[in-house]
Amino acid sequence: MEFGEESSPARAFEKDAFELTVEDVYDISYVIGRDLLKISSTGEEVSDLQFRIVRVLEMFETLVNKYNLSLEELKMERDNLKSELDRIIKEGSSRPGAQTSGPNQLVVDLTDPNRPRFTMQELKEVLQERNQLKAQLMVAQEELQLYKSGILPQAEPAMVEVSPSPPWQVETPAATEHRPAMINDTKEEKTTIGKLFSFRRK
Amino acid sequence: EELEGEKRELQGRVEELEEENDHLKRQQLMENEVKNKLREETSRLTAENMDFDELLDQKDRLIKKLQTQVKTRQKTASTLPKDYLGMLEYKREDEPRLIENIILDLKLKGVAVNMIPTLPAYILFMCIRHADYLNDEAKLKSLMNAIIGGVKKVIVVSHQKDLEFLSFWLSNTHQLLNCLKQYSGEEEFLKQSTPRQKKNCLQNFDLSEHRQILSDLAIQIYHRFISVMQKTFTPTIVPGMLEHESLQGISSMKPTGFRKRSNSFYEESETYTISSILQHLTVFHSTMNHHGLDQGLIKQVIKQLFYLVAAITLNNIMLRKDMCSCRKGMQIRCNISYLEEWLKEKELQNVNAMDTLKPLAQTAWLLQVNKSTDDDAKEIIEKCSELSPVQIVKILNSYTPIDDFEKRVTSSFVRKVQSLLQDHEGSAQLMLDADYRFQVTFPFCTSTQALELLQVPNSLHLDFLNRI
Repeated sequence: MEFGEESSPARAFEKDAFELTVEDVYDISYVIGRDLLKISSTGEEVSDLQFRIVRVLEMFETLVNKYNLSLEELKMERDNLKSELDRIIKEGSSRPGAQTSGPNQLVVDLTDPNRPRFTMQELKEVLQERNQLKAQLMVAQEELQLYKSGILPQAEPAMVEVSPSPPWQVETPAATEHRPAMINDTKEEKTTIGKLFSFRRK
Repeated sequence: EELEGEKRELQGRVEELEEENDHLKRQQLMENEVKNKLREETSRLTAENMDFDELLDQKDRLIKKLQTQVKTRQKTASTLPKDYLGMLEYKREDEPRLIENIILDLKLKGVAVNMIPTLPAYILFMCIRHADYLNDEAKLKSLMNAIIGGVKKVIVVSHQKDLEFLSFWLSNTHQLLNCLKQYSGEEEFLKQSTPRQKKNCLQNFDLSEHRQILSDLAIQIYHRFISVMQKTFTPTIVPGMLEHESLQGISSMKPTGFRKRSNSFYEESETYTISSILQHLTVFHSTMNHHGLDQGLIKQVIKQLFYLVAAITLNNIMLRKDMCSCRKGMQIRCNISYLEEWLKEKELQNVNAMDTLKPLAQTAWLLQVNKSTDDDAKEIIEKCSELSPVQIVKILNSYTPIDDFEKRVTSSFVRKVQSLLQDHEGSAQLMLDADYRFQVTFPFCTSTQALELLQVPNSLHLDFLNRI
């Protein structure tokens, strides 16, 4: 037909199943309806057939609708996820010196003066040392006070020097008790070591 | 004496014993009798039992036989189609739902109405039939009024400008009208009905009054339909028939219309050509066919549209000198032939559409023909039968030659023609009435549809209708 009257609805028959729209189903219904009319239309057989076809096409309509709807929903979800992914990637690449890192990793800026530099172990050791030195300082200050107030009559106050020393050589009170002799020694010798290691105890 | 005594004693004893013996004998006899009786009774009962057993067996066999009979009868009954009467039952309170689902909210995008476009009309008629069958006047009246009201609402309120809806309901209203006629029982409408259809006629009520109201509604829908088409069609007419010059390259301008479902039409960069006109006509035609509109009605529509083309084109020519040239005459003639070709293609040749184009065709001829000699004048009078004297004179006076070589129409020629036309009667009006509408008639057509075979598809959501 020159004016293509039948081409539009009949085209639905040539489409791929997964590209059908619900409009195509209606076009199909129209064409089939017309074709049925061409058969002698009074017969019982044709009537039953006609309404069975109506039923089938109704089911078809439902399926095509559902399919296209699901397709749309999945497409939207996919697009949403895609744009989110793009966004995340963009944010990641805007930070300097960064590479996509794993789940438990930290990205450190090497030019940052406040960047972490020491390990936990190192930190622990330093803090421990500090605490011990603090304790030593307090004891020494106490002793000084006692001397100043004259409670402890000592011509020569025991030299109490507290200097940072390797942790493993710090004297514990238990250790000093084992050296009563050292106290006598300081009176006479005042060796540096003696000075270092003399702690007056009451 | 002792012996005597003993002897008497013994005798006495013997007598006693003899008595006892007798007594015992008698007892035994009695017992035997009883035993015999019992035995008799037992054997009688046993025999009776056996009889009953046999009877039972017989009955059992009979039951089995009857059961198989019933089964086979049931089977044969189900293979035969249940004999439907071709009616649809509904509860009175479901009437609003019925109207809503089958008229007010009915979507044209659906499997059922695409396959069987006039199904709503048949469904409604089957409801009408049932109300009539119940002899329920109130129900029937209510239904008829609801139907008419519902269709009116769709046409006047919801979809008054929608070509598809107007076409669809024109078709269905016409079909309902036909059903009311065919099953009215009136002789003139029974001629082509099958015997079964004759049986199905309305039994209790005469609905001719409602038929009249429905007919008026149908006419209303028809005119609305024409008006809506007129609105989109009119702008294409003058540009397409007169202004667009297609003759510069005839073969390249062969109209290539195509059918589009929607109401948006292909426009060649805002210039309408004869193709645009044909495209519009094609869309209108296929829409009407799509909705199962009666062929007779389609022809009336086409005729009306062709009249519109003729009237608007002619009126334009009357007003514009630049349209009164030989070249324009040729163009118009060419376009008219395209229209004729279109009619042939749509198998509408026997429509009176070409007749309505006659004034236009004669005008085109008049523009092309020689207008100088007396013979010319005579020929003009003869040929231009559809043009009024006023119109002929106007054309002659407006005639503009395309170049300097062509002769103008002399005023003496015009006077000659006028004098020849003196006796001719014709309207004093120059212009045709573009709004004139031919009177529409709704042809009666016997439907071959057997109502008892109609089913109601699920997608119409009419499950409250009961198929009788």
